[in-house]
Amino acid sequence: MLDELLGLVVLNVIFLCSGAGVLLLCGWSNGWGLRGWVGLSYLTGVAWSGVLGGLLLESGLSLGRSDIVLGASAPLVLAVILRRFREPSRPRPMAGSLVARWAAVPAVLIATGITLVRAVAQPLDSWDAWAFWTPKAESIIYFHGLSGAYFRSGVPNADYPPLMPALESDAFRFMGQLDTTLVHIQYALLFIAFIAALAELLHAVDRYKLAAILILIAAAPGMTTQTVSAYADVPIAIFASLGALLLWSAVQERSLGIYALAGLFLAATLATKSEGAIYAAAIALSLLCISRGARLRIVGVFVAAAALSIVPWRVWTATNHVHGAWGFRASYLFERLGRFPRAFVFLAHVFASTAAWLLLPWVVLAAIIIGLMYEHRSEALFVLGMLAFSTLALDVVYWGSTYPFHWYLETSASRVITTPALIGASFTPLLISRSNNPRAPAPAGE
Amino acid sequence: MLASVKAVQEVSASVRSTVDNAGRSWRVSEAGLIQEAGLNPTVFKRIEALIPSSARYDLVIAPRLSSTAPAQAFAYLLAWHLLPRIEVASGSATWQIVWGARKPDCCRVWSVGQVEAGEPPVMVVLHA
Repeated sequence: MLDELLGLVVLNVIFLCSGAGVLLLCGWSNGWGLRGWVGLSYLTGVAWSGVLGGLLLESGLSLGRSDIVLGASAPLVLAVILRRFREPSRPRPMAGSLVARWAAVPAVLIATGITLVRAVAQPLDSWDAWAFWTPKAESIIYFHGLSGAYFRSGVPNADYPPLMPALESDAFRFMGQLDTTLVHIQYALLFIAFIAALAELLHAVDRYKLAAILILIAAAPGMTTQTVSAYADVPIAIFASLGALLLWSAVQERSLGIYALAGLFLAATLATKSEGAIYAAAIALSLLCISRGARLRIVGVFVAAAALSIVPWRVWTATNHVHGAWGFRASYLFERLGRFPRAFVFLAHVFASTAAWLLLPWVVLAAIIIGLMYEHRSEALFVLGMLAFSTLALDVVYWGSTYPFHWYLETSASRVITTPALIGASFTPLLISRSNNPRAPAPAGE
Repeated sequence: MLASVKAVQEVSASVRSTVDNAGRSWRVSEAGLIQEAGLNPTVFKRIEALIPSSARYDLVIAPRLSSTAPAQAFAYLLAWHLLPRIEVASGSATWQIVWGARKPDCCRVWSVGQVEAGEPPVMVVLHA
């Protein structure tokens, strides 16, 4: 077991270094300044390795240890060659601070205490995890890459993009065996790093409010149970949340480096699950609706993310005759009108579930109202638009699905709502901290 | 208040789960998963021993069983446990795994036991 744990540690250090390289290339900071960005560096490395891993697999490579190491170290090597360590080419977009890290400490402790400890001994016992997520990862090991024959063999959701199986197979390669218990640590680390990354990205907001929201996210039972289920719902929610925050920051700060990083996280969102297209589109659409000057760049980021993730995967599935079982019948949109309100109520119900999210959804809604009422309407409109677009799109998916309606809702709604909920939660510290001062009423006559 | 109760429940569930699973190897856990699905892990081991790892197989489950939860769990767990053996379309493989369907007369047949109590045994068939 110690050898396997050591292998996992090595892999995750590689992810961390890889992410640091990407951040340097994006002009994030000089090398030493990255010490305040451990959470974001790690998640950037995971997103980079996952997206690149999918591309390598789709191009026919086996994604062995050497492929993983070479692919992951490429950004760092390039950053050294371009001397990004010494001379940041553009102003640092946002600087990490000690205060931000202190705000994250209680939340990281909660997430670590509950999730990591549980993940260490967690058997693979969630249906989708043993029915297709982990078997797909194991198939990459057995067949030295993606096998068309395996993906045509009736494996469920064969048309889901390969980011998570690629990352799980990385873990198996570095552990030296197909340990389906320890692989849960990989998921727990993503969750813990996400809390840290939020603290780093939102360092400028009120630290007490930031700490309160981070604790609410870390302690949400739904986050813990979904993280240790080894499903892709928490990873996709993490990638989408960081993609949304970074795309928002990129528009505000007009930084190409942040646009590039947002594009990487949106590519990871698209490459994780089919629903990624809904979340990425909801982020881009809601931002397009409220930002006037950066529309071309937002569209560019979305197109680049799709070109890196979903397009090559669709080419691979088409050339290998791989099809998913999920079906959508447009005629249901006319014939089964009653599904629309029922799916909407169900999605609203699982979003507001205190059993899964404690008070987080109510805090998010309150923050949106505060944001709309006071000085930061555009941020609140962005979050509201993203929630509305993604919930409506998910509703239409349930409405026209050929799967049994109630079964489909009951088995998936609580998971697909995780991404909109987490994006909303990620913006909440921003909304409530910046809304301290109500907008002064305009003088009469103006 | 509700939030605190839920958080305490979650922590206690995590502690219970960790204590229950601590020290179990992943192989033992995987066998436990088959048992939790109400299936017999010995059947999986026997099938694995019979079918060569490079072979392909097709799975035939009687229509009266195929839509039940145990049969679906059996199909998915089998597909996972038999990797790198790949399931292929009906009738195109040398090896066949049959549950609840009629025993073929033509070929070599092994009965590998009951995967679910009260149901007919699973058979492995080698088409020469």
